[in-house]
Amino acid sequence: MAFIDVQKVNKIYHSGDVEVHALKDASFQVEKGEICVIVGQSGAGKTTLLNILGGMDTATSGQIFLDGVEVSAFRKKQLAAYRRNDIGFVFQFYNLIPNLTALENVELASQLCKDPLDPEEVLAEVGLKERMNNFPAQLSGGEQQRVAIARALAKNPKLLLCDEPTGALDYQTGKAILKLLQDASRGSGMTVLIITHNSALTAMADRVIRVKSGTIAGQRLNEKIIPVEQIEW
Amino acid sequence: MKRAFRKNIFRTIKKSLGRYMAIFAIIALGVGFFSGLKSSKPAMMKTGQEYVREENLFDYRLISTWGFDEDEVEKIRELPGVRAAEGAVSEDFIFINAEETQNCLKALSITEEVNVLTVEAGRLPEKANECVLDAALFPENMIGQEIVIAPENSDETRDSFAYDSYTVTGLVRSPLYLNMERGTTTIGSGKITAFMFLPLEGFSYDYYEEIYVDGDITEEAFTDAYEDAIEERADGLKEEVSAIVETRYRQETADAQAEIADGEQELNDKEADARQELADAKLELEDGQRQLEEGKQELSDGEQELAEKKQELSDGEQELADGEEALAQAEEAFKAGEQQLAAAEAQFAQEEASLSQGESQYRQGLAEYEAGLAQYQQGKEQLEAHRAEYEQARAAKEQMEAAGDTDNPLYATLKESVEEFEANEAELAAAKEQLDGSKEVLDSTLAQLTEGRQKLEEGRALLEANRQELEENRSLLEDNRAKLAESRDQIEEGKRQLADAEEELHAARGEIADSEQELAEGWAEYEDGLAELETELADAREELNDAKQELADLAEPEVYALDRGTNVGYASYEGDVSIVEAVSKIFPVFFFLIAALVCSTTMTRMVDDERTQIGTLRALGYTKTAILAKYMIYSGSAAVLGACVGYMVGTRLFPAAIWKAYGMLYGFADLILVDNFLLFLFSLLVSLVCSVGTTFLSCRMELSHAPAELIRPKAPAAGKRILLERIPLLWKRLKFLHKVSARNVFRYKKRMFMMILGIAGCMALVMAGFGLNDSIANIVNDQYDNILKYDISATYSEAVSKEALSEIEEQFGAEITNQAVLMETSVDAPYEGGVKTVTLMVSEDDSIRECVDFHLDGKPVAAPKKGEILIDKRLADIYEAEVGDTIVLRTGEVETQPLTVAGIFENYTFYYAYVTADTYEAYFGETFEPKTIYMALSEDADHYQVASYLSDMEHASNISVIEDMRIRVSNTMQSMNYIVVLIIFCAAALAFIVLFNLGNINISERVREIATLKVLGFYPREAGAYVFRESMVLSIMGIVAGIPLGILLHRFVMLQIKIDMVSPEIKILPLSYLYSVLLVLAFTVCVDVIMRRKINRINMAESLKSIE
Repeated sequence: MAFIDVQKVNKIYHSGDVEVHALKDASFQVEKGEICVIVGQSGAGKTTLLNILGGMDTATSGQIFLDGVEVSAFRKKQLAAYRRNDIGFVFQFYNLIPNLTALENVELASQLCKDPLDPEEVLAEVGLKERMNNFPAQLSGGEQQRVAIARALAKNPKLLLCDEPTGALDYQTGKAILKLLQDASRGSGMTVLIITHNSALTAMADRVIRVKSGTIAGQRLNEKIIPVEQIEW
Repeated sequence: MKRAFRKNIFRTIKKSLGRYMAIFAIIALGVGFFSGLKSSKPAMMKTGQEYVREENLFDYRLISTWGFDEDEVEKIRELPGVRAAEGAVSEDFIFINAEETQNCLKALSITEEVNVLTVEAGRLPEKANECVLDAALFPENMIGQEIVIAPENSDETRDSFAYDSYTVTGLVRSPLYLNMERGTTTIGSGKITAFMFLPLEGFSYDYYEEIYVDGDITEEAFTDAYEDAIEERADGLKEEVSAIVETRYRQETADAQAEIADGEQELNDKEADARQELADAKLELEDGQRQLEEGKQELSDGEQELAEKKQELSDGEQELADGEEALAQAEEAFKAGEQQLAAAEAQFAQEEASLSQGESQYRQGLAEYEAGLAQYQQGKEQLEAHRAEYEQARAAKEQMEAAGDTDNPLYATLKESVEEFEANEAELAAAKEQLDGSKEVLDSTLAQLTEGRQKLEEGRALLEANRQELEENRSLLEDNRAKLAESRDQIEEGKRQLADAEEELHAARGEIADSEQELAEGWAEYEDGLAELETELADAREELNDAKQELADLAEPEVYALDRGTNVGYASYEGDVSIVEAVSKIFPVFFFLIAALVCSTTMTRMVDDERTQIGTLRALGYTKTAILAKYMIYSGSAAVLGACVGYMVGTRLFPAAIWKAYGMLYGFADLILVDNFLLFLFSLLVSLVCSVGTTFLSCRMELSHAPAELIRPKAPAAGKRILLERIPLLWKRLKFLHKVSARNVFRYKKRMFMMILGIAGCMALVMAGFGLNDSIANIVNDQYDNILKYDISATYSEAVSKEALSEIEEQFGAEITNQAVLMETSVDAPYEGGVKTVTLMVSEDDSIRECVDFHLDGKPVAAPKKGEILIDKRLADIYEAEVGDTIVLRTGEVETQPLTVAGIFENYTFYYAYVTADTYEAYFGETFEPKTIYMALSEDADHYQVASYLSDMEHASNISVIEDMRIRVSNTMQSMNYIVVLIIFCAAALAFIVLFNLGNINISERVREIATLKVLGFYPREAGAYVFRESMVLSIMGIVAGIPLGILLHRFVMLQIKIDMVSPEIKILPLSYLYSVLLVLAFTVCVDVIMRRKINRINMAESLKSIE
């Protein structure tokens, strides 16, 4: 069985009388240590997919396995534990706690899980050794996103989920962040799932999954992986 | 206003209803509290005014030292500015109730037009011997019962009533007694328990004691205008009434003078008469005396005579006795003589006989002799005849003899013949001799006989003479006897006469004694009469002098025109009612401050939330004013609604609750609510300032930014290091989430203040509420557990005897833990502002300290020495006295000598003082009579059983069980709970609003943060704690800040509450602190629980959204 195994996942939102079929029989697999880019247009259902994979939402039907464990069968509390221990999350808008310093933001996450990495080391790895004691407001966007990544990595999760990690960043900074993610995956063999509407990013992925109107329009392994530095968009 | 705009506002309200409600609620609470408290006093005032007007409470109470008569009342009624005037009398008396305890009631005459009674039950009296009772203090079942003027009352008191008992026909309230204070009296225990009204005819009186006047004043009671109006007329009225009474004074003094003159004249006349009468009597007595003396002389003469006679008689008797004795002797002698004579005769006869015999014997002897002689002669012749033979024989014999032939038988015959002859011869010689002898004897005998015969003959003559003499004696004796008998008779007669005389004398003596007695009596009577006359005269003269003096002393009649200020109920009403107003001064400020903070933070948050929208609207071309208008309408409408609801609820709820609490003091009528439009307007204005004003300030800042800037999301507030971090020791130990909370706490200063202030206010309110309860409710416990430690106070009408004490000891020795015998009496304490009634405890020994704990601030107060007094703190406050100062008390009208304050002790109810018995006697000038026993009983003792035993004892007058009093006071204190509940309710509302508001703001502001934390794997509890730790910390800070605030608030409120009966100790029990803290924490937790649900509902997907 694949590291991530999504089988016939459906998600239907009810909003009043209107039913929105956000995901229709979505099935795909991702192997351990892969960088997977899920690409699709706004409203295609990528975020729903991410929510379900990240344990933030539950599927209406279908099964999801992570490392052989059926996530789709989890209850709320188990989901919280799952998020706590197995998932690292990188948000588009960083979502750092404004009242905590960079280091404290990382520590906030690392203190939650069972087998954390050393926060200072992780911060050093993402190149923020010098700014460790700064508050988010005192950091630039890229730096903030690095803190966010460090926060995700420090948990030493099984799966790193990134929601438009470059969406709020400028081109160069975005590239640097993607590089960081790629390095993290390559370095520690962490499975990384990046959600983006930017097809250009597919070039850096091991695996590319296209989502369209709630269905998996296709999934392929990238034969020719291009280093992040060379990707242009 | 554009439709879309209006819609927008409605939508906004609908969407953020919690926020809207927060503003609404805090404004409602603030306005409710403010208007409620503010309108409480006017409502109570109005109630008082209405009541006083409807029942027509007097405007003036006229008192004259001369009383008033009907004419005067009539004249006063005619005076200008007098609408009605009614004379009244009153009398305090002792009444023994069903429990057999003495009560003092005040009986007042019913007035028809002034001081109208409100009938609560039954009906007003129709007959003179009917009465109505105090509705506040008597149950309805009293109707139909008899109120008996107890025999314990003085004659004077009893004489004041026309009847001995009155039938209760109803229960009433009187405007004269607005509160529960019934006043004091000089009789019994000194405290009036309740009032009673009777028809005027029920009293027996000469003059009205007072006149109640309706002054026709239109101004409302309790107002300055009223006071002014009263004052304006008072002096004039007083003078006019004085003039009226003075007329009578002049008339009466003139009458009195004439009367005195008459009296003097009469006295002098009477004296003269009496003196004359006495002089006559004296003369008569002296006459009597003289007569008596004469009689006495006569008597003594008679007695003398009698004595002489007696002597004579006794001499006669003696003589008689002597005579009798002589007679007896004579008789004796006569008898002896007779006997002798008889003996002599017998002897004579015997002698004669023996003589005769001797003669005959002589004759016989002579005869015999002659015979003998004849014989002898014969013998002699025979013998001579034989001689010769003999001579032969003899000579023969002699021969023979000579021959010695003796043996010859002739010889024997010769010898025999010789011897015979010789014998014959001898014999004849002898016979001759004998005959001679006989002859001799015979001759002597014959001589003797002859002599005897002669003697006998002599004796016979003597005898004959003797007989003769005896016979003579006999006749003499007979004569003497007759003579003696005669003199005996004479003596007997004399004796009889003497006895008669004696009897006569005795009678005379008795007569004299009688007249002597009579005379003595007469004198005594005379002396008495004289003395009586003198005293009578002295009395009469004194009386006259007294009357003169009295007349001379008689001050011109004083007239007093007292106003309502002298009526305790009326006077204290305004003051008591004003307490609420004092409280209303600080609470609302506080509430409005919080309201402003709540509005400000809420609106700031709201404006922040809608920042982009504002930017958009601005970009679309809406003016600043239009945008500002939205928010101002938003907060303003909430405030207006809140103000309306708050005003409506507050002005009804608060006065009602407060009136209920006042019910223990003033329960005379139902509360009349007063609507004050100005108050509402003011509340509304303040609410609008708080809401719209703060909204304006917060919006203006936002709007001052350029639209472009507004459209972009606001950079989140920068994290800041806080002071705490500078203490690494502490900071490093904190967990992150704690660190975040710590930083969050200080991130928004305004919110922090709002929160701290709100919670502190809540805390302060709760504490004040509990403290109110503690201070007032615990008066009872403090008073009866820590000061008056006795359980029963038993008062007797006479000093408690040792026997009674030992009887009690015998009966309840095991139950009684402490006991003190003392004197308990009421004295007046005059001070600058008036007079207080003080319970004075007087005891001989220190045992009272076992039952009454004299202490101050936990330290015992030393016993007073002679000339010293212990007073309680309340009295000391009134006198402004300190230890070492001197005070003067009063019993009746007599002032004591100055007493040195030796100590001040704690006490909360009434006024108490303590002196020793010698101080009492020396300084108060009255006798010490220990009539009261204080008894402390053991835990398990049956107080009522002991009490009932005590009340069955002789002379029992008042047995009170402290437990009863404690329950009674506790019950009245219960009404205080309404206020406490109200305050706690408001505090809770305040806490809820503040906490909700803060929670709401925090959550809405941190939706992203919370969502992120959730995504990071925070469990709901942890995510909740992230927010609530903060509010918890703020709550605790608020609680800490609230404690001193609460203490101050409580102190402030308590200082406003000054009830004459009690002076509450300003204190909050430790348990109340605990309760307050727990209660506020409970509010916090309660809000947390509600808010947590909100957090749980936050969708994690929020974290993915862009910042708006």
